[in-house]
Amino acid sequence: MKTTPSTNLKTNCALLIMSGLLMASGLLFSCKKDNPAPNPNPNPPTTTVDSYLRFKHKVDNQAVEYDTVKYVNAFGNDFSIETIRYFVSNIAFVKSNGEVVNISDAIYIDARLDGYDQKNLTTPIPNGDYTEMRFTFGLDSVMNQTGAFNNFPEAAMEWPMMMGGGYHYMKLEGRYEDQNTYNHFNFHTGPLNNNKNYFHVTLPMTLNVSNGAFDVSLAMEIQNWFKNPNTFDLTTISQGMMGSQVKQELVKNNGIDVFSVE
Amino acid sequence: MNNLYKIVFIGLLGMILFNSCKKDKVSTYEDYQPTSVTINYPSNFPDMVIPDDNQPTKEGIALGRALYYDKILSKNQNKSCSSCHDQTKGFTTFQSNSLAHINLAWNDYYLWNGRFEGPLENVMMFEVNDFFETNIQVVNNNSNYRELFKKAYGVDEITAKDIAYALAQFFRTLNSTDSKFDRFMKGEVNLTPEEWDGYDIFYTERGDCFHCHGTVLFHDNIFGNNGLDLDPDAGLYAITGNMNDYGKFKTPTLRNIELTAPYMHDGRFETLEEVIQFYSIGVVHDSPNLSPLMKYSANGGVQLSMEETQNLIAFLKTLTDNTFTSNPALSNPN
Repeated sequence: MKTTPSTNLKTNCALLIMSGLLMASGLLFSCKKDNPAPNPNPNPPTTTVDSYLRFKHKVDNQAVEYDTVKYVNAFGNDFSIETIRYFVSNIAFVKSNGEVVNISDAIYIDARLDGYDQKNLTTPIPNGDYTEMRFTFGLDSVMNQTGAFNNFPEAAMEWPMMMGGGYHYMKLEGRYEDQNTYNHFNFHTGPLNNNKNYFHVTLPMTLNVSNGAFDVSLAMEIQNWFKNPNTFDLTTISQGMMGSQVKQELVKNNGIDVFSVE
Repeated sequence: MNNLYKIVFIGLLGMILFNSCKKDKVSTYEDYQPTSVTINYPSNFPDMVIPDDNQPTKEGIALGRALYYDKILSKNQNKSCSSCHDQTKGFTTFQSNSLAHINLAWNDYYLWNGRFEGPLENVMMFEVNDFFETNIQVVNNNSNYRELFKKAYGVDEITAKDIAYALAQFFRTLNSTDSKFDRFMKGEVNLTPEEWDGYDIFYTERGDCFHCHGTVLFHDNIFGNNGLDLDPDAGLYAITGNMNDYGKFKTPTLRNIELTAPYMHDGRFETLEEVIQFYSIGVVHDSPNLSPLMKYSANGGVQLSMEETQNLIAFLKTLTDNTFTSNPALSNPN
């Protein structure tokens, strides 16, 4: 069959249009989702923000250099830091007008474990000027129940049932050197026999929030665990600390001034 | 010309009908319909995290179990997992110092030096590729396994990954949760006076076992140097290259510890008496990176008396789980 160029053009055009129509109808009617589902929530979705509460750990106001005996405490012991693990809870920011904004129920911190020296929070907080941060060092009696933290790494903070149950508030560990020999110290605090060895901390803070988000750092000065009001000799203080309410109280009283907001 | 239109029209119509409204089918194999299984465990255990692409199925677990007991896994078909991991011994054997296969689904690190981390699938890939050097062709040549793998994973050609995944599924069922101690915690049984004293030694600073061997898993999921030697084996250092990790090993579980001799990463102790004697008087204070939790190490350890040692052993024996060691669902199916 012979065709003229013009006939060919016509044929091609017609084919092209027909293909286009069919494909369009195919796109329209095929591949329909099973559940086209109207938006079940008529309210606009809650906006999330990218806020951070960061935890910094210092000796003599410098970031801790772990595993090296290079520090001297108020008593005069040479010491190193190996472990810093603890809970803070009931964290709140307070506005200049007195409004209290809850930030988080409980946060587990492990200064040396990736991802556990900061907490990413996504709920926006009211804008405004904040002047105070409040938290509980450790876990309060309501929160500190065996079984509250079954997953690792928190689970390993377990405080034995026969000493009251629940979880350690803190494991601060390291070594000290004394006359050419060394030993370890273990500052382990917790709810010994259900005593309320946690304590509340209130810190001044200057924070302006304008978009619901914040980035706040809480610093721990480790030297302050060892002094004010009680100057500790590391050669004696940590022996049997878990089972001694007297020692738990002494450490608790030193804890009030170890934190600051940066 | 009309014919040409017709052909194009029918062709396009056919394409639309064929391409549209296709179901999101996972597989085209008609006999790939594995049965989902829920792994049950007590509520006081950690959440078991299972990768999305290896959710437990009846077929996957059964396949992993068959492989666990089958020498087809090894290059020369001369050993299986069960060669060194005997159910009646808490899935280890006296002849090896391999870690017991107990509750590993809740571990983040595997092998004594923590060479592998993440889900079980990761360490199982090592077992298939490097430890057993499984001859994949031999498995593929086995018509029984071809059928089992097809049922479990919908595959015609079995790969190392499929084998590792099936093993991981079986490992998630190797769970010891029903020892006398578990029943005691539920208030179903009481401890003897000796066991009670051992319980006290374990969970107080008398013996201070719980800092590393606490939690329902009886380990802390991390590494430490317990002071076996002045010049210890490298341990975690071999993996991280960090001198501060030298001599650190994975804390093993104490569940079924009565059955899992010998003890320590090199199997140096044959009895629990020897182990407790070590923790009482044998800890090497100057071992590098000694754990701060090895209290009283300057005096060699926690100084337990003979009676305390026996009571602590009595307590440790309450961690033996006969339900686990005799569970028919975990035995050799072949």
